[in-house]
Amino acid sequence: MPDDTKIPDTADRVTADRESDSVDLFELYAADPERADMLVFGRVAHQDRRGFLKGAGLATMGALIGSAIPFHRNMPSGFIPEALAAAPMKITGKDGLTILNDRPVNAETPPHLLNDEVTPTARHFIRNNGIPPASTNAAGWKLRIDGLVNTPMTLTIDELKKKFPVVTQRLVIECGGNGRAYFKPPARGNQWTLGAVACSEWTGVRLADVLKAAGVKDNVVYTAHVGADAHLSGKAGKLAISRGVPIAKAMNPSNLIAFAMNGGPLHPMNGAPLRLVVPGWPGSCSQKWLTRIWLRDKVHDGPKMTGTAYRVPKHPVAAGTKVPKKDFGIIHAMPVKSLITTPQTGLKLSGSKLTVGGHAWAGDNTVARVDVSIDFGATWIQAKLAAPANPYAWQQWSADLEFPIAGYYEVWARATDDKGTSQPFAIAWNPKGYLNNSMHRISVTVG
Amino acid sequence: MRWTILAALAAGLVTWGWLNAAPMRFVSPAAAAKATQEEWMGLPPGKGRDEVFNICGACHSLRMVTQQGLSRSSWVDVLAYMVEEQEMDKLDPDDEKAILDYLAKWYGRDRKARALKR
Repeated sequence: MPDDTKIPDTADRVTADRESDSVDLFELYAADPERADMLVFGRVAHQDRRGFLKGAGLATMGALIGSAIPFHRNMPSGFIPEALAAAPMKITGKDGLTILNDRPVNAETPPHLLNDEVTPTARHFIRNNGIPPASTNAAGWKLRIDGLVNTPMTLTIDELKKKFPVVTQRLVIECGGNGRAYFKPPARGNQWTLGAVACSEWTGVRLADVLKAAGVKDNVVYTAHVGADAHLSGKAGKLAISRGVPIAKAMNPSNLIAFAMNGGPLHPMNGAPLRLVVPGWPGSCSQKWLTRIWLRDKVHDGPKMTGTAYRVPKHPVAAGTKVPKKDFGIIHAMPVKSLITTPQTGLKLSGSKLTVGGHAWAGDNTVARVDVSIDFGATWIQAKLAAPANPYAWQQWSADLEFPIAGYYEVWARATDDKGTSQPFAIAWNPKGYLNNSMHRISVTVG
Repeated sequence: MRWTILAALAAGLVTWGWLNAAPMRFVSPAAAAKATQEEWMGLPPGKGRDEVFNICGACHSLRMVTQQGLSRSSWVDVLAYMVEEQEMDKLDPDDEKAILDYLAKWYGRDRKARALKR
């Protein structure tokens, strides 16, 4: 694969925007129709040679075509639906993302493409757990608020806009597993490197306003979020993911029920037409394709709330330790972290001066300072740091560096939050590969 | 509406992103060998490949598999998780052994399959 030589640790990846490499579906099917069926749709041939769309395969094909296929059982195996002819391989509306996984879709953004203060929609990472809904049409989309509320409500997106103040905020969403690729021994799951994080501008209504309107009962402990994506197995009624947050976090005024992203529609892979944005906590708390918020009197036990999903050991463990399930606790806020988004790593610098910069963010806290080192952490230079545009926005930092002599350098960045907590050099290893906030390093060769 | 259809297309189109490296026209012998490998989503040949390809690939991309580098006992846990929490049917013991042997061999902590590719 083309990128192997550049990033040896992250093989098995392709880039989303190489249209010239696109392959026609017809060619794929001409080469080996049954294999193509299996690969593209997870469709397994029946003994009578008729196509058989298994679970997710059927959902995927339906999503591709934008409609259910009533007579799918009659479609011959290896038959390519006319609606899909000659479609290029590309995540429409995304640019430069690295695809880690294609069913479900998981794609991240290289750090140097995250340089914008506000992450463009085309550069926002994608973390899917299931098969996105075939229709992401805003008209007719409904959100139900129920469970332990005084007045259960079902609202359209227009009604949300009419009944509640509409606000726009820059909000960081970061996948809980961002940085998992660097765990040794490796942890299972998508091998995210650095770019499962973004700070786009989200427009919506405050989750707290909507919950207050419904009337939160006194015994509510936790929210439970439900989206319209289907489980990969294709089993009806089985949710791909349904997480929630403690009610105190849910009432934070920064959480949005969002219907616009960067002033435009949400990208379909980012949850169009309606999603939660619960900044500062693992991205999985920000349910996409949102259809229901259910208030409960106990910690929510939906898919990926239980077991070891989005959980870390309650106490530090040595790398590779097998930890019993009962010793895991649910992740709350994400830790303090920073990225160097300019320059791109691997820079060959002809002069001796360089301005480096990037973003820093800190879960529920704010970033108080960022320091930069060019000598493997022996000495540090304090960077200029901007205040956040609003709570939970990432903060821009920059530093002017001067390299004393030609040679190989690494630039390290270290953010410290307003509670005095800094990014570590080493990873606090945990079995599932979460919360890697170790310092970002780039290489610079001078002369 | 057009956006919706494009969106839906996007959902599935990346499914075959793996083909970027596997051009199928004008096939030279070297390209054919590479194409065969790519056709299996990079899974090296050997006992257990069919089972991994068909059983694991039925619900999710094989990229989910080929990204990993896990000990055999972690792979045991992964298969248990698939049954307990991800709706996989309980595996036939022969299939299970073939899958575990294959995954432990090629997608162990040393990620042997990756070394093979370079």
